[in-house]
Amino acid sequence: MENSGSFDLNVAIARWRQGLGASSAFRRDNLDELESHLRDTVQTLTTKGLDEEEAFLIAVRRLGYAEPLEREFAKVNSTQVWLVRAIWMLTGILLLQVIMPVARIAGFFAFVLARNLLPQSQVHLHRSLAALVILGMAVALVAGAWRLALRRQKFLTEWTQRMLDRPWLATFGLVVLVEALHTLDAATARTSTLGLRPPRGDGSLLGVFPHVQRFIQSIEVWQRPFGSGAMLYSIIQYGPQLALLVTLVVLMRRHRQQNPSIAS
Amino acid sequence: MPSKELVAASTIPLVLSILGEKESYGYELIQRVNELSGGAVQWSEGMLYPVLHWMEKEKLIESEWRAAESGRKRKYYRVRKEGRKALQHEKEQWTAVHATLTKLWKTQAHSI
Repeated sequence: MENSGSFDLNVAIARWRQGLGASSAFRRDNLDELESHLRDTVQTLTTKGLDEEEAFLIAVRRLGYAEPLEREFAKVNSTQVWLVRAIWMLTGILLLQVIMPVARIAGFFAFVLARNLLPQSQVHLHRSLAALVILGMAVALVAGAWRLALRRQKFLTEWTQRMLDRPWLATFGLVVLVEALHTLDAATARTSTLGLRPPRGDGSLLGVFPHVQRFIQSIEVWQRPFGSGAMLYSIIQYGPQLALLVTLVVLMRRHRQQNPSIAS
Repeated sequence: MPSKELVAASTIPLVLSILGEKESYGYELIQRVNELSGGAVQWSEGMLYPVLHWMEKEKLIESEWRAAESGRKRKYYRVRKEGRKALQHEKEQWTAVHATLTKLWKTQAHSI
């Protein structure tokens, strides 16, 4: 738009769409409709003698500012807004499951290094050093991921949309990914016999899906005569997580039905 | 020019009445309202769409993407049975208010 000689309406509209598309308040269908409106306005204005760039600017202005538009659309599309938030929460959980093993490996190397360089007897020193490295590494990785996410916002919105379009595949992919990460996590825990790691109890906050595995194991226990208590226990413990998963799939499917993509 | 509240309250009866004549799309709806009101009723254009989507959710209207003569796709809206009922209800209300005000203003005109 800097030099009016080379104004390209399609590029301008694509850029305008991208700006709105960053918000989860708009569905693709909504953006298609708004774009159609914008093009109608531009067409009317150009037949009245305005050039395309002027017509585009007026059309955007008439359609309204992004903020109030976003607010109004969010009221109608509350399911999607909520869903996108849930996806990002899950992504955060996943990310932590990647970050923690990496941080732990760094801590392991720090521990080995400290044991070789510092006096052998000072086990506490070795351990605190390793713990510090783990903490520092985790913080650095989270900060790094945050920065990357802010810089690649466009890419992330596209990805979220893609996940919303394929609910079953997305959920399957998530489960497989979590299982893989869980295996990685367990492997690093086994290799580092530091005793730094808290015992992996049932109260683990972050491992959402790995519990499904244990849930299945507990069903096997239940088949034995004394295991009915274990079954009940598992349902109470893992029920909410399973419910979360099912809700997510159902919502994604509903969302998909409401959002048919049109071939342009 | 009508107040914000009046514009908001009249959006749904206006949309239902226009769609009652024939199916239409967002841009055309706005053009039609501008034309009919002589520019007195000004809608913030983009805001019409969330209203349309809400009306669709409430089953007052239904929509369909279709190619126009120009070849571009547009989302057309149509009134449903529920919508016609709602419009009838709106008509009664607006007519009642209008009749009351008209009576009042007539008697006042005589007294002046």
